Amino acid sequence: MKKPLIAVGALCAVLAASAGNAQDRRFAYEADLAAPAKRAAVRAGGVEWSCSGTRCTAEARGGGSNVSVRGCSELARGAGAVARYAGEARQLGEKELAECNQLATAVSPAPAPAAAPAPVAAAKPAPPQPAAGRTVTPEMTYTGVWPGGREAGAKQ
Amino acid sequence: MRRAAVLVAPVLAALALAAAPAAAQEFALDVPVRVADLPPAASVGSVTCALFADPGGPTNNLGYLGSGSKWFQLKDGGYAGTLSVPVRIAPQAVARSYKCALFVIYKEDGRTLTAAASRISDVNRTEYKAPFRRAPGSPFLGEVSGTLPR
Repeated sequence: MKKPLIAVGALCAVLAASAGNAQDRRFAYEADLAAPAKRAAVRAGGVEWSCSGTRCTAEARGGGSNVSVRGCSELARGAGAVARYAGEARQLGEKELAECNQLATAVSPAPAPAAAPAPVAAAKPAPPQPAAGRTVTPEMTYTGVWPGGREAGAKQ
Repeated sequence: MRRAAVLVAPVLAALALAAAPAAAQEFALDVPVRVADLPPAASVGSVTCALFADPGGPTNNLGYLGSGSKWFQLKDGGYAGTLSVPVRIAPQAVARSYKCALFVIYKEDGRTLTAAASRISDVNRTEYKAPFRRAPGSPFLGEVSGTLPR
């Protein structure tokens, strides 16, 4: 009669331990910068980052929920332009990286909450209204030096 | 019973309307882009625009409302065209200024890197490779900003 009780107790202990491990589990985060970091320590996306050279690393709870454009932009603002921003569960795509770097140079968004909530499947957003406004900007222009003949002594 | 239903229906309809998310405004910025003579490592470019409620937002970063991006494929290191960059902002928001930046996506040592054109073409920044330098004497505008009419 005692055996079932012991078995149940052991099962509860195992479940409690595994639940505790899941809560305490810390995930690794990595970011590559386009240039050596401006600062060695940066708080971004609710995570404390340590940067050396062009590599920044961090550890925190939540494998993918801390990987956000906002967190990336906070890191970019503190350490420099970000070329890769990843957690164990996911990493930012090219489009998100471009937005991250643009946000870092153009805006100062409110700091991300310490534990960024996972995306919530909210009610289907209403379709956008027709263009509320439209404007034409000056032309953006950039001419490089490829294939290299334009700049004397250019290294290829 | 039927009367009760008639009374309840408008209430339910009103509740449903109140619960429905308000539609976002979609703003469009038409950005002419002219890029040329970029190295083969660069395959894609993008323009990202941000809107601000503050007329001085592009410089003081106040009143950020939202941002959006548009991509373009580089062909033979170049692109010429006008990108319509959509930016969604809150229904009640009033945009008073904008800022757009040009980005280049390129490969280096097997990695995909994103960099602002204004940085990689800066002759004073030595960390970027020579092929991304700006052609001497060529016109350059990697960021644009301005105010919007009321």
